[in-house]
Amino acid sequence: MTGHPRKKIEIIVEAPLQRAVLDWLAAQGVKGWSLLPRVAGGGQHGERSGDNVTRTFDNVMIVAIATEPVARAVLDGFHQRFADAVAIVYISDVEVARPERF
Amino acid sequence: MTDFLSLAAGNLLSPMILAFALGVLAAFLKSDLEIPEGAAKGLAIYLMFAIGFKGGVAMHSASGLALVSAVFAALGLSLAMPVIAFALLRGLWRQDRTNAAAIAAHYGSISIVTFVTATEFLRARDIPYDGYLVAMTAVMETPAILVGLLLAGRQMQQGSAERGTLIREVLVNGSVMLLVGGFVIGWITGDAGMAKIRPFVADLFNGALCLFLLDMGLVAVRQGRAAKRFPKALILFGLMMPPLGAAMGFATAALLGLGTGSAMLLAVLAASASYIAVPAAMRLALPAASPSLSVTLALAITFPFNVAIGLPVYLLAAQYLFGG
Repeated sequence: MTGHPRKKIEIIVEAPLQRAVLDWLAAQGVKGWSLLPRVAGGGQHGERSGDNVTRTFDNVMIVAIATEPVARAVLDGFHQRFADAVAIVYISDVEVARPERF
Repeated sequence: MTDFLSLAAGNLLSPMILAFALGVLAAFLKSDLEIPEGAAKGLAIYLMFAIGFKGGVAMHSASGLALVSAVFAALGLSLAMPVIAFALLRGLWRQDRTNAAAIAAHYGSISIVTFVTATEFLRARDIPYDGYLVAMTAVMETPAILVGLLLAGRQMQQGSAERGTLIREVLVNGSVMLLVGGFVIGWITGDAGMAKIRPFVADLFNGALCLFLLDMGLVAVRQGRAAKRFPKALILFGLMMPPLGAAMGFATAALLGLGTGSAMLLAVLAASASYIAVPAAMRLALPAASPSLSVTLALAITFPFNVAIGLPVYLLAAQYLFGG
């Protein structure tokens, strides 16, 4: 079976912005998403390991699959829309079995 | 002086504060001790429901009239505190407008854990307080977020989604729902309700508070350590705001004609700073502000100061000012 090419969007973002980012993705035309509610990591903002009751310093990871134009719009618009957010956005190629869903 | 020393020693040697100290020690020693976030959240939910319920039960046999003026006074206090904090941060600490506003919002709000620890401090000494203090706690939880945003001189960010989230955060924030909900349930059911769930909401309370404070000790030290670029001068702000807030709390208590225990708790509320509800709201609405300044201040400096040193000081001051 041949897969249909789509783009995978992955966004690692600070937990307080989770809802705002999901709403914005929907407005960009992203039809669905999955969420990893806690991802630890390190980098420019120091170690963000989460697991503390304030949740301010936790990261979540949002995974979504979309057509190329939608994914490009997300990649181009994200840092403008969420300036100052602690976030990483990237897209990559994937293949899906049911293209009408994405 | 001996009064103060025995009060201070009594506080420091309570299981709750010793559990907090254990958390601090474990974090200093870089122990792998951890309270999973889910468990900590469960404990927080329990503590908020139980304190709300107990306050409501106390209201069952009291007049509801005092509640109304108390709630308005609490609102006034939480609107005034951020303005004072903001002026100090701008004038004396030369903070930029955005960070000053964000920190001010944290200090206008309150720390429920500090409040809960204070109620246990009073209970251990058989000093009564009014049930509606819990309602004041709920009222003071979120309005400072809006004051902070106004002080930042910033329209809320473009999206209406954010505005919706913020309004939700202010009005139906989870902590507020639990406190008010528990309070109303306690108020409706009264002593009969208490008889049904006493082993859960009263007998277990101090043990749960121990574990939660243990976690707070861990979190406070780890936060302090994570904030590498924290300007040392701000430490003074974190130590100065609690007594200043307490003084504002006492002034409000005098206006309301509160008794010693209630006055002390109102001072504790005004002296404490938020590190749960406000940081999340500030990240959303004022993302240019650095949470490592505001959260470190509220969590790693003001919170330990209040529970370790503040409680006996505020009680002594309340006894001096309000008798008892």
